[in-house]
Amino acid sequence: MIIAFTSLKEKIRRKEFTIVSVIGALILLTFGSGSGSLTINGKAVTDYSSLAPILLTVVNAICCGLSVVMSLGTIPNEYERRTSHLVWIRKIPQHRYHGELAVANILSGLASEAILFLAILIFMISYGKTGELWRLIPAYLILGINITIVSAMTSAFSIILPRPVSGAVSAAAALVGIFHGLLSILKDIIGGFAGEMIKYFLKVIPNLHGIQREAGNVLCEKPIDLHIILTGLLGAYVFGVLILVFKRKSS
Amino acid sequence: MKKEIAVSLLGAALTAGVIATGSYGLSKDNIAIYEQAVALEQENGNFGFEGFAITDYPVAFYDGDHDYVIRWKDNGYLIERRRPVINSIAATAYSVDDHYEVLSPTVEKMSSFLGMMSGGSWEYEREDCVATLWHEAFHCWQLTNYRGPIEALWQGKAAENLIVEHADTNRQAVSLFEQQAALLENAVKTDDIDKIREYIAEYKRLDGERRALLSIDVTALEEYYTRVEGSARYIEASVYYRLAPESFKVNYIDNIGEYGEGSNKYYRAGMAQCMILDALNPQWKKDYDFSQPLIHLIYTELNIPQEKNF
Repeated sequence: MIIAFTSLKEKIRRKEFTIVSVIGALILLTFGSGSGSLTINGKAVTDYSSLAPILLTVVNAICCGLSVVMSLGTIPNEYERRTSHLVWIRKIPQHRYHGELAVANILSGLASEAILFLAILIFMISYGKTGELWRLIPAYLILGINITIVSAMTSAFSIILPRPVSGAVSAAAALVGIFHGLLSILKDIIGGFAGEMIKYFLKVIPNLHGIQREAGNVLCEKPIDLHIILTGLLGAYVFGVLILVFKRKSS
Repeated sequence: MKKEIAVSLLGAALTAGVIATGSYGLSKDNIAIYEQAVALEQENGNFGFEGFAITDYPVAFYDGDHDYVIRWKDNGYLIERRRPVINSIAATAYSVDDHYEVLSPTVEKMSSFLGMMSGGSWEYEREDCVATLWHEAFHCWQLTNYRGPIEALWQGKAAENLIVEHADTNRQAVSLFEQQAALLENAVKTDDIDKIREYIAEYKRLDGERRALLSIDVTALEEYYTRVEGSARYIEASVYYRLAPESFKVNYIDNIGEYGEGSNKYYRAGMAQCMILDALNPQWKKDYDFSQPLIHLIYTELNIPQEKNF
């Protein structure tokens, strides 16, 4: 795992990681303070059970976006800088090399999630939920599935596709995943050919929205749907396998 | 090789977990909703509308991919899956082959839709779903048995735009309707027949003024909504009352006087007229054939002279 940790250190040193995470945490604190101007249907949203899922929606969107950005260049950069040659001479197989770099991508995404969860921790304390703080751990792990999926997906595509293409495909897939619930409703409203097309997209793209909702259910003491979580883990597994399977020319 | 086996086993375990935890077919919640709707028929009959039975009409739950059609047969029910008839989130009465069916999204689909559209503030409860099935089944019965009088009333599509662009933009008509709706709410909330007569007499006076402000098309469409949708809302409210009496007043009575853009206000007005008729003569609906305005039946019960506008 030396490759993974070296790559992770490099990522955490990058400014965009810190800047995006800190700005995200500040946004969350503003929403979560109850003094923000968040309204739904003209009514101010200030109660815990309404705000907690909204905060997780923001964390999910920021972390998924950050995961695409941070995972996009990791593997291609290694080849462009010819660092890969240092690995080949040590007889490290390509799939392990790609795998460790992808692990670094996933861990950096999870690190940004941890920073944003600090804001949720403060939010929970401010709402007197100190006895419920343990719920942050399962919620963090469940939401971490999304970050794992997006990081693994972007890493896998970055092995075989040119950077702009893999970036566009990964960002589009992450967006569809984040808006899975909304698109599912849109599909039912518009119907017809367009509705059918959306339906097929939704079948192959992981339901990041559903996983985020389950994380919210944990925070709000609601029952969780194990099927959605397992489906998310299976999605992460599939992209993980693709990382090991996809090959890239060494030179 | 060991690593490959471990990875394969992990994939197999996850796949098995996904399959084992998935829901297939119509969920238990939807079946329970249908059973509750049928149980209400067995307890309360047809709510006074002779010949109406929810079990006469198949109920199709749409889950986003398929319709699950439940048909009542020989004191039991059968469920079959088919391609969706309308492929859309809508609770409606719909003509399928030679009969009408109740089409409704599954409770999970509807909850997710309403939750998302309202930002989580509107929860679709089981009693809402049961009441909706009765509302739509009532439309099936209306269209099966009284299509003539209903089409004589309004043949076009239910044109929300006509209401929004003409009735809702006419300030004087809006103000008059608000007063009329408040009178209906007052009449529903009292048991005193003299008070009801007083409210309805004033309602009639305002109604004459208001009709003079609007075109025949608009008043015909308003009457369509009031008579056809209002009576279906009345059935819906009657069902809701039996399932959730604690929240009945807030959801069905206290908002009769509210004005809102679009057709919903006529649903509430028609429902209120049915409730007033119940107070005056509970037998009114036994032979009701939708050829008469509900308000005219009220005038008759109260001996208030009326003009024949319809």
